[in-house]
Amino acid sequence: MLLKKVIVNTIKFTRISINEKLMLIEALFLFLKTIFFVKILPLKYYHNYIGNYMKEMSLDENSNYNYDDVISAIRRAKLIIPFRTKCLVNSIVLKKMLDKRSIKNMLYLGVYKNNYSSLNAHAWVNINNKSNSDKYKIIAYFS
Amino acid sequence: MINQNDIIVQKKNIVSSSLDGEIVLMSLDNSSYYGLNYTASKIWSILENPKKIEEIVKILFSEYNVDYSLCEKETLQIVNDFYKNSLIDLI
Repeated sequence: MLLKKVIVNTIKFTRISINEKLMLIEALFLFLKTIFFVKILPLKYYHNYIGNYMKEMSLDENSNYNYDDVISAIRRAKLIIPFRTKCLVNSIVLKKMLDKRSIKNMLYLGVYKNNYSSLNAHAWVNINNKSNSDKYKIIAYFS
Repeated sequence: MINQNDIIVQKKNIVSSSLDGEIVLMSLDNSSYYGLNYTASKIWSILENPKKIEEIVKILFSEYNVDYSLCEKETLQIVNDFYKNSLIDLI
């Protein structure tokens, strides 16, 4: 099963363009680094790595950017990683890749109360002013 | 363990937000979220400035119709929970 996955992924990897390959490698490195941070360290040691803590930025100028290739690279990387990555890890990787390409974005940490009144936490990235903060109460953000 | 004479205040590395009238805290020190109930939320908002336990109990006692010793006991319980989870500083 694992061998089949490796073979399929290797074939897929050879078929994508050089630019896509580089972005996939970049995403994989960022996933490794971010998983290490999130699993091992408390947030206070890596909040500066994520971005400017509790500082907002305007996302009005973003309409012309194409970020589909970033999303594809992250999707491909997630297929290769053998376990499910948390929303915080995915969001940090996405933020770092968007930052590198000068695409303005904000990373939010939020919570909502489920039907049993217990808290569910979530992390997400916004690149325009549409948000899912109707459902989630934003607790912290990074620009 | 915190007792009546200690002065306590909210820790700096904590962000908070209000959700359905109750406060949710996020601590950078231990990467955790805390959902506070109504009473704990009230005590948390009092702790924005340094306060003696006795002062907190007096504020709660003046606002709510409660037994003083019960109020003191429960306040101590809540602030000790805050302290155990590194949410407040002792001054």
